[in-house]
Amino acid sequence: MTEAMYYVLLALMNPAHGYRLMQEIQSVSNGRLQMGPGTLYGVLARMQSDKLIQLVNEDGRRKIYRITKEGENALYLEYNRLADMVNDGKMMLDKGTEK
Amino acid sequence: MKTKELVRKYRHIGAHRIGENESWFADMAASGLHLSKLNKIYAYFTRAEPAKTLYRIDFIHPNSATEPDQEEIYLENGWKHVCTIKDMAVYSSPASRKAPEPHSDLAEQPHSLSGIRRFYRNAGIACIAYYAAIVFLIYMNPLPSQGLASKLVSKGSITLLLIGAHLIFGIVFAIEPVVHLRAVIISLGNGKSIDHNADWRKRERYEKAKKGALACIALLVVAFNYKSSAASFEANIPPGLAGAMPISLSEIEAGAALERRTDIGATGIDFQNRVSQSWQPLAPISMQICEHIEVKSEMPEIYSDYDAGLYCSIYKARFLWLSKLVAHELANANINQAGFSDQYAAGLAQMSLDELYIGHQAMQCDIIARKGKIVAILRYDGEQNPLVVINAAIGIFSWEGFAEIAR
Repeated sequence: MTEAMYYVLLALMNPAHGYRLMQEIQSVSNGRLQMGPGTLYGVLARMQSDKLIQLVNEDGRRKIYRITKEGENALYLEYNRLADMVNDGKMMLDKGTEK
Repeated sequence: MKTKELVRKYRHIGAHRIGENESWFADMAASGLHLSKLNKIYAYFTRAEPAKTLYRIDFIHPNSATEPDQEEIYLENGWKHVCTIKDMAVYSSPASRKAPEPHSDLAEQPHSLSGIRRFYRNAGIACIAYYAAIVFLIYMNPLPSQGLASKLVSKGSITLLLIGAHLIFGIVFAIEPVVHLRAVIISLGNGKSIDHNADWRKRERYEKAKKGALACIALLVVAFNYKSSAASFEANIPPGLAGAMPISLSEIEAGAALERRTDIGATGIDFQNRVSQSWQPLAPISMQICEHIEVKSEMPEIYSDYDAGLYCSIYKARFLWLSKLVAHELANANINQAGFSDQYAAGLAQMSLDELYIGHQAMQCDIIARKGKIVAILRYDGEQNPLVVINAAIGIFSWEGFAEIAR
């Protein structure tokens, strides 16, 4: 899972439209990640076809997306993988510091 | 109300060349021509004040127009939708605005290229399948001799050359977008973004050269066909004119009473006794002789009459190497009695030929001879001794009529 996919899934824990998603991602990542519209729509189109997210309804001209059960599972799997990686890294780096 | 002037420009650069297209649109805008719309052949520009403008191409939604939702998000990020053609959407932004790049995550961008990559891959496969079918048809085509070199000196070689050139260009053109897109995707995977300032002029020159080469091939084909039709002929073999033909059955069957067997068609050509010459780009002389006679026996009480036939093809190749290749190909395809020519090898030098291949069986003698650029293949059906046929074949190379045909 790419960084863009991870953050889009995170942001879609609450249903949102494209522009709101971009703001949410920027906020969640403390401004570190400013997702461009090309990247965002590429990720949305792909995750929709992979059934990780789904279209809820259209609010005027804007489409609202939400995460699916499969999407949540994928997100938790990725979260656990990343947490394991951080823990592993922390353990090794702490050992290095003790020496 | 003053209408805006629309300027049309031919699109030399294919859609797969993303960076070159973007830099072309940007340079046009800098010169006062702002992209307005696109079709498969042309780009239309509106004349206005020159402005430094950035253009970005995206392929997010295959086979559909850009969705309003997407257009809005692009707009909120500083990118205005200009036009969409098929699955290629173009956005622009004033350079001074410094809008963030639409594709902020390069690892994600290859996915947006999967549609166009699939399109070019399928088109490439279809083209290669088409060319493979042409190659198959060429080899199924019953040309008078076997092997590529033999075909190049035979009638139809113009078509063969055209198809060959067409094949090479076609395959290069078919695989180029796929190879390029693959390189772009690898480059994106390595964290290197698309070059938005790619040299479109260089690409345009290449595309023009490509089209020029195709036009040259077409012109050559027209010129070759014109020359070929002007320098080719088909005629009945003139009876009883010594020296009128490079070889004739009357030389081989000398002394016997002869009666020509004829089969005259609607065009007045005697299919049993005809000579044809066709000019080919790689063989100025490509001559076919076909002759049939009935040989009357002088002693009918002992020997019966028999039918004799002669089929002869004579090629004067443009190049010596080609004539050597033709001789070897014809020998491999037609002479199946290996070692038969050994008994004549000693006399080869006196015969003043460069190569001689002989196959002999009852009532049939096959000879392939080469002297310099001239190659002759002949089949004699009759009762005469092979040495007589060889002598007649040697006579082909001293025939004076070749010079006249070559003129």
